[in-house]
Amino acid sequence: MESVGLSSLIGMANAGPGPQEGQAEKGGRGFADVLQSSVEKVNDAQLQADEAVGKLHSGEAKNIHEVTIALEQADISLRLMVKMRNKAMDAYQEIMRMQV
Amino acid sequence: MSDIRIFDRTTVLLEKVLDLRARNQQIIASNLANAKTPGFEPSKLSFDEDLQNALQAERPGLRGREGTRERLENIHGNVARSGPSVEPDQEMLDLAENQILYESAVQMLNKKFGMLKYVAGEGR
Amino acid sequence: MNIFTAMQISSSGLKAQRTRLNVISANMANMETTQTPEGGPYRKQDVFFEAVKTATERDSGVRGEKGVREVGVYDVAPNPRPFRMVRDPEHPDADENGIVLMPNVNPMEEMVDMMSATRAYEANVTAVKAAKRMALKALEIGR
Repeated sequence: MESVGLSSLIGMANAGPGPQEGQAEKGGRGFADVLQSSVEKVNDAQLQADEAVGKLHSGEAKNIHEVTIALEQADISLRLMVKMRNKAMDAYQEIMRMQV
Repeated sequence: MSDIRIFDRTTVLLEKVLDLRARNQQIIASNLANAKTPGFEPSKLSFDEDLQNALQAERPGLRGREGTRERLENIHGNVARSGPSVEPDQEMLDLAENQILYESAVQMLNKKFGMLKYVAGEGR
Repeated sequence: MNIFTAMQISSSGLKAQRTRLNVISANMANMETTQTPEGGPYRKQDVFFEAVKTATERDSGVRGEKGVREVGVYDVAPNPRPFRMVRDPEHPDADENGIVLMPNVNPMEEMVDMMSATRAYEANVTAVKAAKRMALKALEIGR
């Protein structure tokens, strides 16, 4: 079972608004890229869960626990991604409010 | 990205599974009630193969996905005589399996709806 | 797709098995009964089952799921097996040769029947519980 890197997502979600440490060093991989890759991971999790549900209910596999776990992973990674998006929005709005 | 339509094919599948398993419950109940009725032949509702075929025959692109939904919606299962007399132990097994899969389908449907509702509420 | 139909079918099974259990109890209780209102010893009763159309089909007239039937008791009839002849000259109902006619009830047979009826009854109870749980679970969709 492929893990969707939940621990890395949790780290991102709990980070405050502001530039990531890596940006100063590498100058290329910003928050936008991180968000992009997490969206892809969320999508993968959803697809994996859907496939597991399909296999269980068409009689191909009988592993209920794998399906419920896959669904839970999809759910949690979705919520984490939404939280990240919200943080990004908050950060953007805070920056826009700054008096220049 | 995934094309997140409101009712994706997994939701359609789960609804169809609920239909089929509710019908299956009737068949199993009938077999059990008539276990000692002389000359009664038990029946069985089959649909696994139909579901597998509907799920697998998918071509990439939007048209392929429409096909799957229609294929799923058209599945009615097949009722056939399953033997010369009722085997109560087999029926009890079928009963348990049917109930468990029905309840798990409800739970999974709820999960999917829950995720959609969360996103619709913007997660605030 | 009527979940209540499934419950009805199971309850017809419960009723049929209960009738069967009652008859078996009567047989066992009267194992030694040599005098009945009809005269003569007690005659073992048999229960006869048949598969019938479900109540939903009867009420609505619409054909239901193929192969789905309720069970009904269409007859409770005396068993034609001959009475047992037991030698017991002291018995008040003994004839001139000291032979008493005893009921044609075999206790072992009744015990086995009773176990079978009990098990069938329990199987139908399990089916009712399953249908009920499924119906309640369906109410949880969206909750």
